[in-house]
Amino acid sequence: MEIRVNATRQELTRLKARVRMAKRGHKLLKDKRDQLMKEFLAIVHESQRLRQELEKKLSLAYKSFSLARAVLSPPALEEALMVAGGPEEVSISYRHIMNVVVPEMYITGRSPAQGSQPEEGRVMLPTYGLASTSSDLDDALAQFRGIMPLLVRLSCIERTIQLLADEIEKTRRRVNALEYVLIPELEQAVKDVEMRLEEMDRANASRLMKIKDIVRAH
Amino acid sequence: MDEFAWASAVGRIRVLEKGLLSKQELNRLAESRNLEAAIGSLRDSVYGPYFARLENVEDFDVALERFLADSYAYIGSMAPEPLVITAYRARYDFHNLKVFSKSRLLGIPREDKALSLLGNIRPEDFIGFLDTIDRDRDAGVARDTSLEDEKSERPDLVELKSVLARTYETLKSRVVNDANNTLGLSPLELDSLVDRAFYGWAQGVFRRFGYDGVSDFLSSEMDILNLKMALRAKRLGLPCSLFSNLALPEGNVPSEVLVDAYGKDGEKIKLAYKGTPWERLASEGVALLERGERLTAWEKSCDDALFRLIKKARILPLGPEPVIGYIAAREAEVKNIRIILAGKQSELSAGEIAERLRESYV
Repeated sequence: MEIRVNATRQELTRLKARVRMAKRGHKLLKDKRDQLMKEFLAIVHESQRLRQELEKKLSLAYKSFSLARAVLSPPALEEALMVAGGPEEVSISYRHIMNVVVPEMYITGRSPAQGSQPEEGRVMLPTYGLASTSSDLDDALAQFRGIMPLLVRLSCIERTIQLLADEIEKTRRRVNALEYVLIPELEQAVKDVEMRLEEMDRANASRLMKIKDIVRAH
Repeated sequence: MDEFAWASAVGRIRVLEKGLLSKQELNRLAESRNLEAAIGSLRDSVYGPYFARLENVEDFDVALERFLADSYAYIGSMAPEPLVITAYRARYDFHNLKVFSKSRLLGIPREDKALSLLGNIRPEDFIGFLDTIDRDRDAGVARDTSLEDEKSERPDLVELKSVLARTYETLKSRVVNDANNTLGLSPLELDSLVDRAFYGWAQGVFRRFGYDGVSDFLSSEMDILNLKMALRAKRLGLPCSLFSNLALPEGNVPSEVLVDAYGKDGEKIKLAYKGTPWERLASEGVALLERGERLTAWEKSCDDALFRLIKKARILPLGPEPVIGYIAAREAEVKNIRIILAGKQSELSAGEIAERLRESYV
């Protein structure tokens, strides 16, 4: 959309200030977008790595569970799993990446490195009798427990990716709007005003020359 | 003890044993292309009619459970002393007691899939039975009085129900006593209490009848179970005080000795089993535990060792041992078939399936 302004010197000064400001903003937003992209790519790589690790661990856990299931009769397995294990508490905090608020989640009392290991001094009591189950079930459940911190970490990373992608998209639109719309329009407006002012100067000069000629003729 | 009374049953068992799948047949089954092919191979066996009734081959567990239920019913009908078979089969009634107790006493939603159809008491009758106990308790009626109504019932079932009722009452009193305790009665303790009640009662029945073979088998089963539980409990880091509630007390290795050894170290567990047929198994298990390795293969060795013991019943001409042996053989066979079919369903390799297959009876 064309910017309509009065062709005055004051307006020209104001427009030039706006161009300077827009260019500065454009540079800053471009820097922000680049930095966001850098962070985004690093997190995407981390997500890919975690996803691969998770898929590997999940497939092993499911395999262990299939073996446990094979050895136990379905009623024995169902009975053993009637009671869920103790609840896991997830703590959430927030951090800022280029002014984007992203969540940080972790299972209370367990760092991702701890995996299936319970926190120190805490014994994970099985919720089933040991006489009617097999060690395959212990192994499978321990593996699933070990996956929990990874799952929480991955969900946190995926949310971060979503938020960063939204912010990158917004910043990209702003950068493009400045680069391809506002700055060219402002520059065009400056050019128009300058041309108009120059034209006005020329008209004044020719008018003055004409007046001089008339005065001289008399 | 009347071993001769079992002569007819043993004769019929000898015929039934011909239908058991051999090791080679199981291995062939394990090498099938996929689940459908494996089930197809079973069509000519005694399992054929059960699999033919399935709408979906993925429901093979239903067919296997129906087969076992029918086998139990048939064997129960031929037993001259039904209580012996009832006591052996009661492990499934006690299993159902665990399910109902967890739902009634611990407030966990009942999973009908967790109920076994193999017990002496059908799950739907079990509900009525527990309702009666709860009603009698609320009304302050002594349990023996209400059992008067059950006079028309088979004596073996009356005795079983009586011990189930006692176990349920014990569980109830534990939950009530622990009502102010945030831990309450844990599912682990509940299961262990029920297991102990079953093994204690079943052993009492076999001893009362004087069938040493069956009694020895059950004691050996408890020894092996105690050993497995000790090593698993060690791996899980359970305290000695808790393990003392888990160990089954009627084995050949006194549970106090094992609990004491558990409180010390792996070497002491090995010592507890020194001089028993399970000495080598104990050494191997402790070694695996110390190296932090998986116990899967070792557990299979334990099952095989126990199975070799029951296989001796094949040469006995009289008594309940061949009948119990046949039941154990069918259970092991069903377990093997389940391992194969579940393995095929999960697309495990033939090698992985084969290394989990238990010994067969024939």
